[in-house]
Amino acid sequence: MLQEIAPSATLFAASVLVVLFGDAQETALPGEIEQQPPTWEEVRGVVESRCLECHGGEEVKGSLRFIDASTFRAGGDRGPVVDADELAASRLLYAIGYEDPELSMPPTGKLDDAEMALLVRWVLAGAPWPEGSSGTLVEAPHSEEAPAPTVLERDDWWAYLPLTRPEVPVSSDVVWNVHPIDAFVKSRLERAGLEPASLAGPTTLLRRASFDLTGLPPTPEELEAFLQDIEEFGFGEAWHQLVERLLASPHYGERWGRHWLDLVRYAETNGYERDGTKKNIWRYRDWVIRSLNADKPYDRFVLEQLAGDELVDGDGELTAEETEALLATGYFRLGVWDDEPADKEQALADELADIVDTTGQIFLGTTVGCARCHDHKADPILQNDYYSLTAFFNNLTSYGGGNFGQHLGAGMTRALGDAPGPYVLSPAERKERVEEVELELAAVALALGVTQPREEDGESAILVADARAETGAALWRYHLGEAPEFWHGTAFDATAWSRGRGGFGRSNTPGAILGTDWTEAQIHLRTRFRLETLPRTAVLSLHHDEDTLVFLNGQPIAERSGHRTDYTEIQLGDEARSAFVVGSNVLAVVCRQTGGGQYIDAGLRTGKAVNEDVDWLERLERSTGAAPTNPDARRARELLDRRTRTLALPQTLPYAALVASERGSTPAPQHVLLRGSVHAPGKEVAPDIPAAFKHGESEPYDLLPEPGEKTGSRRLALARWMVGEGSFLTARVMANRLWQFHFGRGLCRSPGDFGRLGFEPTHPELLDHLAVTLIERDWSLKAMHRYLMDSRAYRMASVGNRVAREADPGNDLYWRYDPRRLTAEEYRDGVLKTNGTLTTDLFGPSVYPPMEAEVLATASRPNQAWGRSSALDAARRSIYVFVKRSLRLPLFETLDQPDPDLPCPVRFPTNVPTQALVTLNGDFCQDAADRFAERLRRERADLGGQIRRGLVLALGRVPDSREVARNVAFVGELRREHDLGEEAALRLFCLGLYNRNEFLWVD
Amino acid sequence: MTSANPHFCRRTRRELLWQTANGFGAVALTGLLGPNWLARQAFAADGTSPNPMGARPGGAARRAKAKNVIFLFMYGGPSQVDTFDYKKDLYALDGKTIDVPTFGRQGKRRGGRIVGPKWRFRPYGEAGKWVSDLFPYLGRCVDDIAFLHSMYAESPIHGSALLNMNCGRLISGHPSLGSWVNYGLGSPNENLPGYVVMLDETGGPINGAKNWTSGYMPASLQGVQVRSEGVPILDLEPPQRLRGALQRRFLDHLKSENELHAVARSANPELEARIAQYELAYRMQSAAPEAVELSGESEATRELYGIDQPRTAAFGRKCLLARRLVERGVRFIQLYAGGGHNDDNWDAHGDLVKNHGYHAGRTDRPIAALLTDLKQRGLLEETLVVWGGEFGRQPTAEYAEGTGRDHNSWGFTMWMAGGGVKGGISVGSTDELGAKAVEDRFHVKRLHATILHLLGLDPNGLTFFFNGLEQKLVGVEGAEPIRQVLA
Repeated sequence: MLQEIAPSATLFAASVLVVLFGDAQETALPGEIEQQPPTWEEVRGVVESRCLECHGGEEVKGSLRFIDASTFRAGGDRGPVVDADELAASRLLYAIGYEDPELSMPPTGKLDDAEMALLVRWVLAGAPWPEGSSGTLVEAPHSEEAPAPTVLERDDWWAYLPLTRPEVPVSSDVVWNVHPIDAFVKSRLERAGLEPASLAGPTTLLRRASFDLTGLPPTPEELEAFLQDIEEFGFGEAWHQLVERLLASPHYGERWGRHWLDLVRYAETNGYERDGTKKNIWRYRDWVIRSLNADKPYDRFVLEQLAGDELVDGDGELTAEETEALLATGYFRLGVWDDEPADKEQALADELADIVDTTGQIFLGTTVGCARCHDHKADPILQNDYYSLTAFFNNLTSYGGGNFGQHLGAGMTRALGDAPGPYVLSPAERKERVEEVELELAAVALALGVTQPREEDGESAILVADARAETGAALWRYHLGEAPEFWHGTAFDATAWSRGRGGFGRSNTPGAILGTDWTEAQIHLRTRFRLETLPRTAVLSLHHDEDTLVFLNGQPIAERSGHRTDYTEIQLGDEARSAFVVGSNVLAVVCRQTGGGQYIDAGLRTGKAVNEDVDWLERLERSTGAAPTNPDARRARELLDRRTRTLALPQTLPYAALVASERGSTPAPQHVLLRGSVHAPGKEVAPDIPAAFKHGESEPYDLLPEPGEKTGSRRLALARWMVGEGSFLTARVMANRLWQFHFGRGLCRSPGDFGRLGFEPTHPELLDHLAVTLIERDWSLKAMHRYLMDSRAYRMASVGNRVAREADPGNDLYWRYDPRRLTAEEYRDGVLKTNGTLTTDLFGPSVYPPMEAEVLATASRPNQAWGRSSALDAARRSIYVFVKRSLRLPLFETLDQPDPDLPCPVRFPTNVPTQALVTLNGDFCQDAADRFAERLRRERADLGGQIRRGLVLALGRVPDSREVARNVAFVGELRREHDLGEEAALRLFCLGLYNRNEFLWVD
Repeated sequence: MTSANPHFCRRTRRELLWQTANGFGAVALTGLLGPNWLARQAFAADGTSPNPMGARPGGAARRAKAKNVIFLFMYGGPSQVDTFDYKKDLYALDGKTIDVPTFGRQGKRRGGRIVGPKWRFRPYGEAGKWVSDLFPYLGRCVDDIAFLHSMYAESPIHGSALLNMNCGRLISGHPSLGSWVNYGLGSPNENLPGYVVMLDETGGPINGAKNWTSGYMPASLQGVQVRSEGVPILDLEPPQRLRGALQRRFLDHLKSENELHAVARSANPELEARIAQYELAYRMQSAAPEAVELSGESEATRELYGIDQPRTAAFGRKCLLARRLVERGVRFIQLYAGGGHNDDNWDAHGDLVKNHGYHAGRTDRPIAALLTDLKQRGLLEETLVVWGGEFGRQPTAEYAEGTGRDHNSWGFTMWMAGGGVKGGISVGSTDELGAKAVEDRFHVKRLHATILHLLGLDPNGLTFFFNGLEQKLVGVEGAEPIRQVLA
C-alpha cells in the first residue's frame, strides 16, 4: 500500500495543506508551520482522543499501536506511518486527509481543522515522540486529573478492614444494655447528650412490623389477637410470637424479594426498540421469593446467583437443589439488552460490564464500574483489577449468544421443573384440576347457551393444510427428542428427518385426526410452502395437546400451553406476518407432552379466522362480557379465570428458564480495555480479586476447567471468596441492607458504595457487630430480622424530644425511629388488602393490571403494549406485576418505584401533586374504594359500624368514638347536602382513607 | 478540579446536605419535592444523592439567555439532503451508483445508488438560505434560525439513537435532557409540570417512556404527558361523582383529617408537604385545562398555526399549546412529530416522497407559526426552539428500487432558533453527497451542551452523583457548547 501511494504522496501532502489552510489564514500560515511544532501535550491530546480507541491496545487495528515511542516508530502492517525521508509523504497524513475511502482515519469522521493542523505540523516537524513514561499512552488521560490512588496491600478505609467483633459498650441505662444493638445506639446518644424516644405503642408496632416483614397492613383480627396476646403473655412474648408469625408468612419473601429485585434491576423485557420479553424470567423472581421464605442462608443465596450452574454436578438427573441453583442464575439475564446495537463488539462488552458493575455494587458495595475506563479515583480498584474481575465472567454466553436479533442465544434457556410444593403441580395434578374446572364450565356454558358450531369463511387460500382439509393434510418432516439449535430456521437442512402426514399423536385424543403416530414426549415438525406475494391476512390453525410453539421462518409466532379438544384458529398480527417472505417459507412446530392424550397439528391459510380464535371457552368468555350481572356469567368468568390460572401455575414438568451458561471449556483471554473500549485491548489479565481486598494469602483465581469439563469454576471461585475471605465486605454490605430496610436508612447511608465516595457509617462498630453476627448465625436472614426487631431501637416511637430533634435533625444517632412513606407496591397491596380483593396466590407468570388508554397511547404499538389479566390476577401482589422497561404502571412510577435499568440501592421518596391525582382520580383507587365500600356494607349493617370497620382496616388501629362520629357526620353531610346515596357517600369515605397520610405512612 | 479530590467532595456534599436541611432556600427541586426533600436525601444518599452544587446554575456566573426549551422531535429521522442541507450536485447523480460508505439499519455499505433530492430548493431571507420546497413556511423564518449541518450521533438504529438524542447515552437508564434541565433550574410554575411531552396521535416513539425518563434521578423529574385534546394530564379530571362543590368538601375533610394526624407528628414535615400537594393537585385541575384551552386564541392565531386545516390541525394545536405552556413557565416541552413505526414517522425506508411530503406537510406551517408567534409576542428571545430527529438519512437508496433512504448518524441537520441563538446562519457541513459531516462536526453532546449553556447551566458542571460518579448529561469527557451559534 505504502509503495502504491508513495509516488503521489508529495502531491497529496500539498493538497492536505491546501485543504487545511486554503481559506483559513488566521489559523496558521503555511510559512509558520515548520517554525511552530506543537507541544507533546497537544499532540498527545489528539492522539488519545482520536486514535487510541483503535490503536491503543495490544491487539489493534492493522497492528498499528500508538502507545509509546517504539510502537509508534515501528508502525503497523503497512510499515511506518511517518516517512522520515519525506515527512510530507507520510502515510499518517494521507490517512487523516480523508481522500481515500480505503484509508481514512479516524473512521468515525474526519479530524476537525485544529486537530488536523496540529498533527500536520507535528508530522512535518518529524513527529517527535518522547521516550519513557511521558510518551506512554496506555494510562488513561483521566489518571492525570486525579491524584493516583494509593493502593495498599491493606487499605485502612473502614470497609476494607478485617472484620472483628467490636466490644459492646455499656450505657448508663441498664435497660438499654440488654441487647447489644441498644447498647451501641444508647452509648452513642449519651456521648451526644441526647435521649432516645420512648417505645412505640403496640398498635404502631404491629403496623410497623407487618409492613416491614410482609409489605401488608395488619388486619383488625390480627390487631385484636396481638393486643390479647400482650394481655395474656406480656409484651415480650407477644412480640416474639408476632415476629415469628410474620417471618413464617409466605408474604415475607414477597416483601423482601422486592428489595432484592430493586438491587438486581429486575425487569422482564430487554428495553430498546422491541423491548422483547425475557422468556419466563419470572422464574428468577420466584426463586428469590422462595429462597427468602425458606431462609436460604445468604452465603448460599450469593453462590447460587453467581455460580448456580457451576454448583451442578454434570451427571444424572438434576436434584431439586440443583434446579434451584440453576434458576438463580437468571440473575445474569436481567439487564437491558440491545438486539440491534450500532457497535456489536462494544455491545457485548457493555453487556458484560453491566454484569460486573451490578455484581460489584450489590454484593460488595463497591462501585467497581468507575474503574472500567481508568483507575478508580477514590477506591483501591485499578483498571487492571476491574478487568480481573471481568475475567471471572467473560466466558458467560451473551443474551443473544453472540448474535443479535430477537432470538435467544444457545444455552440461554434450560428446561427445568419447579420443585414440587404447595403451589407447584405435577402434570397429572394439573390436568385433573383443569378438567375439573372444565366439567363445571361445560354445565355453565349450556346454561348460557354457548355451543360449539363452526362457520367456515369462504375466501382463503391454503398454504399449509391441516388434517381437516379435504385435500388431505400437509406432509411434514418430523423429529422426536431434542433438536439442534435453529432447527426452525429456513437454512436448516431437515432432509435427514422422517416424513409423515399431519396430525401427529394418539388416536384417542379428543378432536384428533390422525395422520402419523406419535407417542414420545416431544416432536419437532417442519414443512415448506411457497409464496408468490406476501399475504395481507393469515390464519394459523392449531390443535395441540400439550404445550406448543410455532415458528414461521424461524420467528416465533404462537405459543400455547396445555391441551385442547379441538382446532383453534389464530389470526396472525402484523408482527407475525412480517416473517413471511416471497419464495420458500418454513412453518415449524414443536410440541411437548407429559401424559394422557397427545396430538399436534397445524395449518396455515390466508383469510380471516373463524370467529378469530374462538373456541367454546373463548366464546363463553365473550358471552360473560355481554351479560356481566347474570349469575351464570359471573360464575363462568370465575371458572375461566381459575382455569387460566391453573394452567399458568408452576409445574414439576421441565420448561424453559433463563440461565447462565458458559461459551466453552476454555475462556477467552481477558484484556484490559483502554477507556473501556473493546477496540483498544490492552494487556491480558487473569481472574483475580483486587489486591486491596485480599487479607490473607490469596491464591490467584486462574481456575481453568479440567479438559472435558463443561464449565469452569471461575464464578464459583469468586462467589466463594465473597462469602469466605471476602465476607468482611459481603457481610458488612448485607448487614447494612438489613438495617436499612428495617430502619429506613443504612448505618452506612450509601449501601451501594462503601468506598470513599460514599458515606462513613454513623455507627461503624454496630455495623461490624451486625456483620459478625450475620456470619455467626450462619448467614440466616431470618435470624437477623429477629435480632434487629428484638432491639428497643427498633421499637422506639417515631416522635421524639425537641432537644434531640434540634441537635440531630437528620436522626444520625437514632434518637427515634424514622417514619417512612409506603413504597408504591406497599400502597397498592395495602389498598387491595384492606378492601378484601387482594389475590394472595404466590408465584407464576406475571400479571397485567389494567393500564389507562392514555398511558398505552405512549407506546409505539399501543395495541400490543400490554397484556390483559383476569380480575383475580389483576389483583395479585405488586411483585407479580409484569415489569416492562418501556411502559410502567403510572401508580408505580409516580410513587417512586425505580427505573429498572440500573441497580437501585435506595429509593427516592418524592412528593408531587401528580401522586395526589393518581390516588384521588385514578381508576385503580376509584375502583378500589368502591370495593372497599362494598366490603364495609357487607360486613357491617350500620353506618357507624361501617365507618369504624373502615378505619380499623385502613389504619390498623381502633378509632375512638369522636373520630367515628366525625366521619359519620361527614358521610351524613355528603348524603344530605350533596344528594348522595348511602353507598356513594361511603365510597367517598373509603377513597378518603386511601388518601390519608396515616394510610401512606408508617410510624 | 474539586471533584477529583474525593475527600473534599464527600465532605462538601455531606456538609451541604446538613446545612441545606435547615432553612433551605429556593434551589431547584424544592418546589416540586417539598421543603424537606434534601433532608430526605440523607436517606437516599447511597451515593445517589444529587450534588446540590450542581443543581444551581453551575460554574461561571452567567445570565441565561433562554428560560424555556421547545424541542420539536422529528422522530424517525428526516433526510437532510431533502430538507435543509442543499446539495445541488446531487440531483444529477440520481440513479448513479457511487462509492460512498454508509452505515444504517442495513449495516455498513460501501456505496449504492444515489437518490437525488426529491424537492427543489430555493433561497430565503436575508441570509439567502436554501430550503427545500418541503418547507415553504419555514423558509420565511430562516433569518431566525441557526442550522447545524454537521450533526452526528453514535448510532444509526432508532432505539439507541433516540436514547442518544434524549438522554445522551446509547445505554438505557440515564435521565433525559428535560429531566436535567428541570433538575438544574427547577420550575417556576408549581401548578404545571416543568417537563411536558406531547406525543403523536399514532403512538409514542419506540422505547416509550425511556425517552422522557428521569433515570436514576427522582421520579418527579420525568416528563409528563400532556394531551392537546381531551383531559390534558392523566387522572387530572376527577370522576363525575367527585366534581364541583362535592370535591371541595371531600378535600376539606381529607385535609382536616390529615392535619389532625400531623399534630402529634410535627417532627415529620413531609406530612404537611403532602397535605399541600392535594391543594396543588386541586389547582392543577383548573390550571392545566386552562393552559390547553385554545378557544381563547384569536381566529388569526388559529389560522396562523393551521388549526383550521385538517392536515396541520393536530400538530398546529400542539405547537400553539407549546407556546401557551411557555407563557406559563413550563421549562421543557418536547413535541413528537411522528410516532409508532414505519411511515407513521419520518422513517422513510420506502417511498421518500410520500413520507416526507406527509410529515413536512403537517408540520411546516405549525412550526413556522410557532416561531412567528413567539417572536411577535417577544417570547422567542427567551425560548429556545430545537428541531431535528434522532439522525438523518443516507444520500443513497436503501433498496434496489424506490426512493427510500436508510438511517444515517454520520451526518445530519438540526436547527435551533431563539433563546440566545444567532439567526440566519448555518454552521458545519457534510461532504458533497451529504453523507457524512466533515466540517465542524458536532456530536449530539455538543447540542446538549449548547442547550444547557443557553439556559445558563454549565454543561460540564451540572452533575448528579450516582453510582460513584458525578454523572453529567454530556458524559465524563464533557462537551463544549457550539459557540458559532451563540448570539
